[in-house]
Amino acid sequence: MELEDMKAMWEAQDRKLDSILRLNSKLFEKANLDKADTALKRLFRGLLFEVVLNFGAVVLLGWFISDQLSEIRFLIPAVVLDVCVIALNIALIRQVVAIRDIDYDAPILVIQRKVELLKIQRIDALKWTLLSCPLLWVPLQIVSFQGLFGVDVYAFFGIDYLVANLLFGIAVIPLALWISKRYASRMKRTGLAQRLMGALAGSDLNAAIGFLNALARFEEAKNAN
Amino acid sequence: MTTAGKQAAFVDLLEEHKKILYRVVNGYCRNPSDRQDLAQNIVVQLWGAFDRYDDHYQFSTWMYRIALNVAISFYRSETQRAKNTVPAEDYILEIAADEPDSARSDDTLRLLQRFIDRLDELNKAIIILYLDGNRYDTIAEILGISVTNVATKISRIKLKFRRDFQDAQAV
Repeated sequence: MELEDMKAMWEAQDRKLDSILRLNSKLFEKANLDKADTALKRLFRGLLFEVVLNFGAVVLLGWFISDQLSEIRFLIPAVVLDVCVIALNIALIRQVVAIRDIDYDAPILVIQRKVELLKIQRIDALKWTLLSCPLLWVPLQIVSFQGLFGVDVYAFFGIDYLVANLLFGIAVIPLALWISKRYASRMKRTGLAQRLMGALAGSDLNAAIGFLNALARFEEAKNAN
Repeated sequence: MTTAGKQAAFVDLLEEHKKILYRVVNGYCRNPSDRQDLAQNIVVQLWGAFDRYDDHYQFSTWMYRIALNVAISFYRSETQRAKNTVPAEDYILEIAADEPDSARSDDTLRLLQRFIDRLDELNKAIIILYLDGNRYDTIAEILGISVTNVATKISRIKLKFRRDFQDAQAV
């Protein structure tokens, strides 16, 4: 049997569709067009909210830094935190712009490339956020205790405690990477955990890059024949 | 046009071209609840883009672009993909199921569906467009590739189909 024969069968099946369509008009009636909402729009709003929150953190850190200009032990952790929050916000704003630019009525290859590049941006941002968390814990403690309660963590907990926290943070990173690589594929039932571990393990990124390569190969054949 | 008028025009066009929605949704999703979700997503994206629809172009071409873009993105999302990997043998085409005397055509259609399932996201789009009788230049326009590329890919898919069908017959 040839594909042409299948085409005839497909057409015959098509004629039956009118009488037995399962996705019938009720679907369109149910679609509340005025409240049209999609995953991308939800993501867009979530990202905007995060951008605003991070902007608030940057402002607060800015005040803290201006107050501690002469106190280098508070200034350095605050600057480190500020740089990280600003970098995160830049990454989020790039995603917001990328989502806003997605217009599904463009040719399929163009849109799929945009969607996949957005996915790569999101995975990268998530991966670096997760990896930096254990390391940023120490400067966060120093700055938040001093800024919120006026407690000097260096004196209160001692330098040994802070060094131990920092070393623990450094040790946690390779451990997290190892666990992610080992268990990411097994955690199929828990979406969030799988996403976090997939991002850390690099499997999500590889899948996205794999699809981008497939798109490139799909396009490459244009010069064939 | 008023919002109500725009909605009415949109629903009329959608009603007229609902087969496109059905084919795309069926081509990319096996699970009935996923099909509903995907159909809903497509309708919402179509509505969101309806303001930009230029009626100098065919509605079907525009609708195919959006439907396939949403379907491919949906298919590629990790959670949905896990749910979508229902073996082809585990479901029966809804259309064929309503025809009691069509056992042979069920088998052939199932074979075709299984073949489509095994294609990657992009070739799946090509074969759906091709089986729907779209011209090569229309397929090229929807996908954003050259007509030559479309012809090459369709000829490769035909070859693959012939081989797969022969293998299925041999078994």
